Amino acid sequence: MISFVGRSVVQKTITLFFVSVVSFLIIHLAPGKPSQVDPLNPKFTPEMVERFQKEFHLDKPLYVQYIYFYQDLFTGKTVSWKDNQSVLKKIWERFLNSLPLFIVGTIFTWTLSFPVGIRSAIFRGRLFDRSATFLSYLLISIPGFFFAYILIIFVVTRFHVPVIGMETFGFVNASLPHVIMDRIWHLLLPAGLGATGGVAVLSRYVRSQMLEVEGQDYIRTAWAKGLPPEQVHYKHALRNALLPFVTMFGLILPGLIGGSVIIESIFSWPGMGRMAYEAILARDYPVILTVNFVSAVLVLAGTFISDLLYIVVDPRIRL
Amino acid sequence: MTNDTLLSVKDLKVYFPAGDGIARAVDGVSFEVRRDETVCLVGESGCGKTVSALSILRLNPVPPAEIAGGRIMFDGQSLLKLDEESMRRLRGKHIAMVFQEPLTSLNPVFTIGDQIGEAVSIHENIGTEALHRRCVQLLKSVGMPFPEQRLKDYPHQLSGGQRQRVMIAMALACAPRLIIADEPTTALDVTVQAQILQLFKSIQKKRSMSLLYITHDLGVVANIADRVYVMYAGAIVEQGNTVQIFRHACHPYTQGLLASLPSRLKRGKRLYSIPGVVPNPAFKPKGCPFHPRCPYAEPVCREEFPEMCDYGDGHLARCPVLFDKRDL
Ligand SMILES: Nc1ncnc2c1ncn2[C@@H]1O[C@H](COP(=O)(O)OP(=O)(O)OP(=O)(O)O)[C@@H](O)[C@H]1O
Ligand code: SF4
Ligand SMILES: [Mg+2]
Repeated sequence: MISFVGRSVVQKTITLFFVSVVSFLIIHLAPGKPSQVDPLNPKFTPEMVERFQKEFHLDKPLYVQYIYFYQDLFTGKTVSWKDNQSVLKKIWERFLNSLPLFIVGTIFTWTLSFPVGIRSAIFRGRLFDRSATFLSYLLISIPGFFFAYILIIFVVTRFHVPVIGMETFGFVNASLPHVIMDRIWHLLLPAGLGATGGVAVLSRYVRSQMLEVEGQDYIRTAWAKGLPPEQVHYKHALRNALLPFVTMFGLILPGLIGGSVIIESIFSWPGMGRMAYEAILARDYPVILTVNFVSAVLVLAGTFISDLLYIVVDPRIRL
Repeated sequence: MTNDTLLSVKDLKVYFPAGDGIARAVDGVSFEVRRDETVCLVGESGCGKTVSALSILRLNPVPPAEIAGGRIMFDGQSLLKLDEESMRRLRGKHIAMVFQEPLTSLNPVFTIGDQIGEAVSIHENIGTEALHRRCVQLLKSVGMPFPEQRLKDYPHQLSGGQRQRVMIAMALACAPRLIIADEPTTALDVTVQAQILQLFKSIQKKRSMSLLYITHDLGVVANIADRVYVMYAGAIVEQGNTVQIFRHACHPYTQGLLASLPSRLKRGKRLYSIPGVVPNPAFKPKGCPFHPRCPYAEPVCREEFPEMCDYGDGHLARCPVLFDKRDL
């Protein structure tokens, strides 16, 4: 176990190093330079550009730039080219904004997908299963942004609840319960919307996984023992059907960043995804690279958690 | 049906949809198991043995399976008419089953102790302590070395033979009156096969219990059976006690099976095998389903499904052609 953890950490650190090199190279190979960002800006005089290049070591060879960049990153000195703010601080703020959206969305997705998928599998071919199948394919085929606008129009005109942003603008002097309710309203729609696609896809996975397990010999053994249906389905079948999802559970971590760009943009939610997107448009290299690095860390941490969980839940995997 | 009959299957028909038609996997099977006796159901692969056995516990997946007819009586109850809850209470408690595939028949994510214990606790009110002792006892009774430690193991940590022992322990858990063993040794290697067979024999001797043992191996039948049913293409073609079947086989199919036993091999002769293959249950030949492979086939065999002919003393065979020639 300890050797597994040690080995894993070493492997993942090496992977992380290569990711950092490759992402650094890709960014610098991409067309466009930060100095071209806004040639019409009167402040961008040639002297300014030169000073700018000096300050950020853009005149040095790439590998030196690379070292400077990661040195700054690890000492917390990296700043955004756009507003000179500390990148880590910016990311942390955005991260805190994204977190509730992510958590609520994930809870929606997982708590809905499993009951739906499992029931579909147990009652396959019946009305419940067929309705769930129909709804899933409907939700999968409607583009998220389209669905979002319909929902926004519906909620705003029907309930007169503003749902854009994280809170209602100018709602500062309200009492605490009102503020909390306001926050929850603003959270529910984007989180729920982010979850619908997830539910549609995940419940299908759960269903097929469950169906596969239900056909196994050991399920027949469970029936032959005289176990009641609940125990056959929810103990013997489900426990096996869950195994692959344990892996998936670790892999949802990176969704904190990438998963919500569209939703965050539609709802003007100041989260990580939108920040990354805006940074790319602005060619704000430090922000892009840092977000990239953080994503890589999240992916690796996710796989690491998955591996650990797998060891816990699958007795066949022992180290 | 005599008084000491425990299980009687009468004219059982189980069909499956197959492409455009239907596969008559089990097509009018009748047999009986009496108290404390060992009955063997023997036949080539695909003749419907497993489907018949699963029908007794109603474990065939319906759909696709369709119980098209018949009656199954167990201890005075009509199993096909029982409600699902009563059927469930019967499974494992009064009728237990050991399957063909020990490697996949145990749940990989639960310990042996869990799975055996569950078979007990579902039917009996039993405390944790007593349950543990019972599990150890059960593993001991199937000849498992180090039963205490084994309880904590997972199936993948055991060999095939050991897993089959666990399956048998599980079947014995509630001291059922009937154990159905569906080719319990087919997936094991030869030495282990002999051990498991020996285990079944000793268990059957020690306990008051009936055993319905399914196999395609006549050698096993000779070793273990009190009475034998020979099955071909979804129907019983011959039945009788072991001596009747092995000494006086009256159906060409049984005779063919016996002739292909390796122990009958004469030096320098080739091992006999019945020509042809078992018919596909969706396209069974008209008349006697064995006629394309039968050395005695007559024109009538292609037309009429043969009746059971009674040779007396419980010895019956489904071949009127040989029955008519019996005294010649
Ligand atoms: N679930 C199913 N769906 C369709 N056909 C089936 C199904 N189960 C069994 N059959 C058919 O029923 C026939 C009898 O199968 P069965 O498993 O009873 O044979 P068997 O005598 O046990 O053979 P074996 O020695 O190979 O175990 C087979 O031809 C098979 O095609
Ligand atoms: S009835 Fe005819 S075909 Fe069938 S076993 Fe007898 S002789 Fe052969
Ligand atoms: Mg079989």
